[in-house]
Amino acid sequence: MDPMVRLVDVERSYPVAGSRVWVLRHINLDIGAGEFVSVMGPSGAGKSSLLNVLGMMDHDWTGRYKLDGVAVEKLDAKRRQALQRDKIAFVFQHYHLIDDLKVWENLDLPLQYRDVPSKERAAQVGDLLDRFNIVGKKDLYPNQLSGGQQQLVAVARAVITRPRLLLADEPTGALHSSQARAIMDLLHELNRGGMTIVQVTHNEAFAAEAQRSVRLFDGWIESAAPRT
Amino acid sequence: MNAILHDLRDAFRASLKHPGFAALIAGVLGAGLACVIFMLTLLDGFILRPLPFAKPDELLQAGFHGDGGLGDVFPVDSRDLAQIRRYLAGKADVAAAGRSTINLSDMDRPERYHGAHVTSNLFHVLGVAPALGRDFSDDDAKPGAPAVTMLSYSLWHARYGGDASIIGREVRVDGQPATVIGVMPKDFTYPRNEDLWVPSTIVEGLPADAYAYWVIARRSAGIGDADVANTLDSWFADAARADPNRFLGRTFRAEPLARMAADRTTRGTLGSMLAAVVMVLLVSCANAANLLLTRTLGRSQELAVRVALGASRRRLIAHLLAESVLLTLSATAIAFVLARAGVAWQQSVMSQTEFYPQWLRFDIDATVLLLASGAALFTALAAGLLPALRAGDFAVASDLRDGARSVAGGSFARVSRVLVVGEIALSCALLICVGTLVRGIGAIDRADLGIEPAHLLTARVALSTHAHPTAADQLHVYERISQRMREDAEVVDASVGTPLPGTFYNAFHEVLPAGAAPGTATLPQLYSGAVDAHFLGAYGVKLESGRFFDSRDRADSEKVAVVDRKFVERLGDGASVLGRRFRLDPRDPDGATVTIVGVIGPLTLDTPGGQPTPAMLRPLSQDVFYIASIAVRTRGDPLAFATRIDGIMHEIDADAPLYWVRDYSAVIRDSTVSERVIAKSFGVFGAIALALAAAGLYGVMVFTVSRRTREIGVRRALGAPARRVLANVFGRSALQLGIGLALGVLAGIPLARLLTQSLQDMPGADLVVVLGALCVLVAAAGLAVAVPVRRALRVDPAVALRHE
Repeated sequence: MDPMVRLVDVERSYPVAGSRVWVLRHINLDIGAGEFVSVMGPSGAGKSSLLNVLGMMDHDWTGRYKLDGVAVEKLDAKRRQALQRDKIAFVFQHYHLIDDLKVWENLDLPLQYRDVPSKERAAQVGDLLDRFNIVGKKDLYPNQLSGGQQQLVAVARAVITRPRLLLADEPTGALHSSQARAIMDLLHELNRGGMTIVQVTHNEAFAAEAQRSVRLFDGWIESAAPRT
Repeated sequence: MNAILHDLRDAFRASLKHPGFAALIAGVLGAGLACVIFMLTLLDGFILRPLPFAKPDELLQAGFHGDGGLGDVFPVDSRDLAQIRRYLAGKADVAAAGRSTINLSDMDRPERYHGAHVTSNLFHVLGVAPALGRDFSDDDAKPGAPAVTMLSYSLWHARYGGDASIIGREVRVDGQPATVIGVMPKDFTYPRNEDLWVPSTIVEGLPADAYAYWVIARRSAGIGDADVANTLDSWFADAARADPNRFLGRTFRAEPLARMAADRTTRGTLGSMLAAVVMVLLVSCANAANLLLTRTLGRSQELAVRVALGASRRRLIAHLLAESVLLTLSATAIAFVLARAGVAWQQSVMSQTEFYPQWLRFDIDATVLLLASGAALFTALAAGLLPALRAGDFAVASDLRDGARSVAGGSFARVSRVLVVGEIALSCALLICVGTLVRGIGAIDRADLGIEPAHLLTARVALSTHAHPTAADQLHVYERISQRMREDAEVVDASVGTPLPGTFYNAFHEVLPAGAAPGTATLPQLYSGAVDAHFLGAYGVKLESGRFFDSRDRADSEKVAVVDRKFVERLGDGASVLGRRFRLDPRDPDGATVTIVGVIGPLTLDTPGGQPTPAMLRPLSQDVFYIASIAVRTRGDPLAFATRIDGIMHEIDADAPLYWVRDYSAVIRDSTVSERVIAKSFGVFGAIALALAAAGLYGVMVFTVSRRTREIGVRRALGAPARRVLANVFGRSALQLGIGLALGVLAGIPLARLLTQSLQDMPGADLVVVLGALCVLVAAAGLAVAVPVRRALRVDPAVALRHE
């Protein structure tokens, strides 16, 4: 059976002043369905580049990438975007909620982009507001929320489409410890529900909470050790 | 649909969140759209809207070919009109109107009106019935029939307070009793701005009367335009065979009556104005696109997030377009308000001009709304599509790193720079056009007509040909007028004559030395007028050689003339013209032969600004006309004498009121009113384009500084002096400005030439105009970048390095 993610010899480089700068080198990585993986490494190691490749935000790589059994490199842009819409969701360090939209409208947005009928959208948004305990905040704008609350909304927005793979780029990086803890608990809960999670983090303790850590250095996978 | 509403809602919120930015873009687009809607309203009124007559498609106008002032045809005389009616009998109902000054006097209040001598079937042919009373009947136009008249609705209200008992009342028309038989409907005038109509007697075999008739015809059922045209061709061929000299070099044509609203010159001017407003709209769109582009770049991360949340490229583009659609809707509302104000101004200015057809209406109707909606849609797409497409490209390609700064900024900046260069070029071209027009009008105002315009009061008078039927009668009245004026202690000299130098109330003739064969080639031309012996003193003109008119020049004495120096240079063959004889209109058997007795300095009888044309003066006693100009040279303010001149005229002939009582600057101003209206319109367009270009530069500069705050901070921290920072930040803007100005000059000079050629043969753009336009734009650019400059210089390195 295929894993959720299979990267085979994936490489990524940028042309710079007549030569190339490599940001990912010969990446071979399997992530099983329902696995929780942490990606670590110093700045410039290629963590975000790897996340971009996994999230299909970047297409100029070489190698092979299978997501849930589908060979990504063989898809045209339209099908790739459809696959991304179907399977993947993102959480960012700085939340990136849309400032001009209220909390419930931020949650509604991914469903709109998937052409979900409005009644169904309202029901799903209502469920999620309830589940994440943010019903009271639904009519507030992001700038009226604390950082932790904003990240909570961001995670809710990410999971409202029931993705198979959640990519989290330093989800606790901008939060103080108690808020960060709450978000990590939430990610664990989602993982227990069967969601595959890949988080990029600098936080050794939070990285250790994952089932496996992948350590990058200068674009190479230094180690892909299971949690001990 | 739901998605569109969501996008519009988001766009509305974004506008509320950044009201200044939204107002700037809506203002920018509103200014451009206002110009376009203004022009569309004018085009609709002049060209697109059907004439306010019954079945206007059946109506034609016919006449000699040329720029006759009412469409592209010249009028015919009453002899030709009578023949044309006979030829077209059964094929078309032919009517005609000869414009004329008509004096209406009753209740001791004589007043001069624009009127027309018309065929009795004119209103029937137009399909317009009187609002009150009856229409003219054929009997009213029979020789010896009791005199009758019809009034316009506005005259009926202004003079008689809308009193219905006016029907059947006797008034005096040109001093003769006439009965008012009808009042025409509100807003009806024909052919231009007439208030009074009297029937003409058009009978074949009679000599031509004094009026020039504009001919209209309503095709009979089953008759095509070609049938009418062929019949008119047959008439013309027969008439030319019978009287070859009179028709030599002329052609005859029929065209839709709708052409009378906008002749060739008007259509050319409208075309130039339309081109100008399209340029302004393009500048607006480029500007708004630029502002939206810079703002979209500021939203790059948000757009990347939307992509990460699953937004397709199409949805992203729709989302961004929604903003420009919303802003364009606001802009359109602003534009309609501005355009309405502009149209009201234009209509008020045009209604003061002599030949403005009062029945033209300039309203924002369904046609204008439809065309304006098209323009607005174009604007929304032009302003929003480029930023949306660019954003669609980069958002899909962007990465998710927080604080990623260089998201496709390079290509964005390139597009933005190109747009600003385009804006500057368009503004520069428009400013050169404006400058050329203003300078041309200034030159006309300052033109040396060959007279001394200071302390000169002028007026016109039209004598009743019934009260003063003979030339001797009319001359006697004119002599009394000038005599009475000169008796006043305030008056230096006074003269009565037919011309008014610098206007178009002068006779135009071809001329050859007496005895020379005219052949078929184009003959030398001149303007002439008949004046009394006091012309030189009243107008301040100097005699250069020979003599001026005096008591020797009687109606029955030898026909003489005084010519100006241009005549001597053009027709003198290097010798003196004194004592030589010249034939006016040598192809016309009735053309006069005159002996030159004197030469004066160059005199411009026609409107200034055109090609210099020789002038000839003839004694009033030998060429008297029932309409004349009065010129009074006063010791003090000429306008202070205006009431006195009126009183004197009233004493001499109470039925002949003076009109157009003006000093000379007003005379020249009125004769160039069309050019002034166009110059003002272009001035407004140019000012808007200038403001838009400045706003565009400002927007780009502000954006540049904000994007480079950290870099500026680093440079400052490394010890860069202010001038180096400024040179670095604004060097590229100077290059943009330079390229834009160069392109603008290259486009503006030929454009200005096209524009001025369609007007008064004004000179094209010169160095002063080009330098002026460049200075204005450089100054505007300086102002536009002043705020960002201050901001760049005040960047605190410590703060800047914390930026983002």
